[in-house]
Amino acid sequence: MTGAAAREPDALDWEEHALREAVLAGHETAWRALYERSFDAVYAFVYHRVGRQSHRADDVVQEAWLVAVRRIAAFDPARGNFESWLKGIAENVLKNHRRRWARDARSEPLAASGPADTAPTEEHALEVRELLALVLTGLPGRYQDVLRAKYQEQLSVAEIAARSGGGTPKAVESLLSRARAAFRGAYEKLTGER
Amino acid sequence: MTEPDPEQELLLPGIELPEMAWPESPVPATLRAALLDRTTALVRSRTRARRLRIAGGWLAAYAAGLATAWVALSRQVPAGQDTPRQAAVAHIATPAAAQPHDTADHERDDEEELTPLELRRRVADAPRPEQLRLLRLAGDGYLYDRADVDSALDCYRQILELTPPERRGAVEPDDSWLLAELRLADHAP
Repeated sequence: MTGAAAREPDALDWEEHALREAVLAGHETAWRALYERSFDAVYAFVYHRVGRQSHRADDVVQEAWLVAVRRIAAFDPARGNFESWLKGIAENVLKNHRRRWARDARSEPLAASGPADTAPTEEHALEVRELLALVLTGLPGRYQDVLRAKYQEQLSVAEIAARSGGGTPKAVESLLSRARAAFRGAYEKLTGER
Repeated sequence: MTEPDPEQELLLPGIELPEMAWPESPVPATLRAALLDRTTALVRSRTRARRLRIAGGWLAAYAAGLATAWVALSRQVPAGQDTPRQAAVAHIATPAAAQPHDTADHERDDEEELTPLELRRRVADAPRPEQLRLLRLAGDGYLYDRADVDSALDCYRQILELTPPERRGAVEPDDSWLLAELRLADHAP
């Protein structure tokens, strides 16, 4: 989990505002910091949305980052953090790519390979896992971190606070509560759409 | 209705996900490095463009100065009087007496050998102005020597917390680019 997990959103906005200004002034280190913070989360976000096809994920992620670096002046931390802004760009890039993939698929002969033969229970498990991935990767990084720490690593609130370096158990509890609410909201939205 | 226990609350009420392997995605290290290089190059080109604009501004200012001097020199100057240019040269040739060196500089050579972490450990026992100085040194060390922006941000955030609110937005000459941006961001409307 990153140290950012237990910080308040205001502090992150304020830092990202400073980093954005520094990037606009041409400081490469500031750009590297934003990049390193968000790359994995944005990649995972795209990867699960393209059906775990690495080559497609690579194309989309690449284009999204190039758009982001060119349009960094348009990033407004008051309206959301850098990672969410970047995921929004990736979502738009993905829409454009999907249209192209659909066109290509129509012009190609039907593929011989169908869905893989899997047992019903295994198929269901995969489906749930995919759903979980879609929901989780759509959340801000600090929510993902705290949910993973709690439900995957089975850490207590006190342990998460100790690991975050400087965060209090109360702050972690509050973050965890917001993360759970965001997860449930996104889960319900996605299952409603299906 | 009682509040749910945060330690026991399920992620999805009514749905147990005990054996669920959490989704992982491969980390494409090659793409990550290549893309960082490519995007950093774009940031670098932005810096070059900015420097060119600044250099253009200086050139324009210099040309304007030359033009002003030319106009001034072309005027008739009464005998025995200095032209504006001569007056300017005379002023430059007789600078004010050199300022005595500030002998109040503290001897802190040993601090240059300390790591940012060691500097931060000294903060707790130091008086307030000293705390700010040590945090600044530690933050600069993280930023310039290690390119560790997150740790530098931790130090700088503490500086701002220790600074009185009315002085927080004032950028100081010794501020690093990151601390200066933080001060401005803190006071942004």
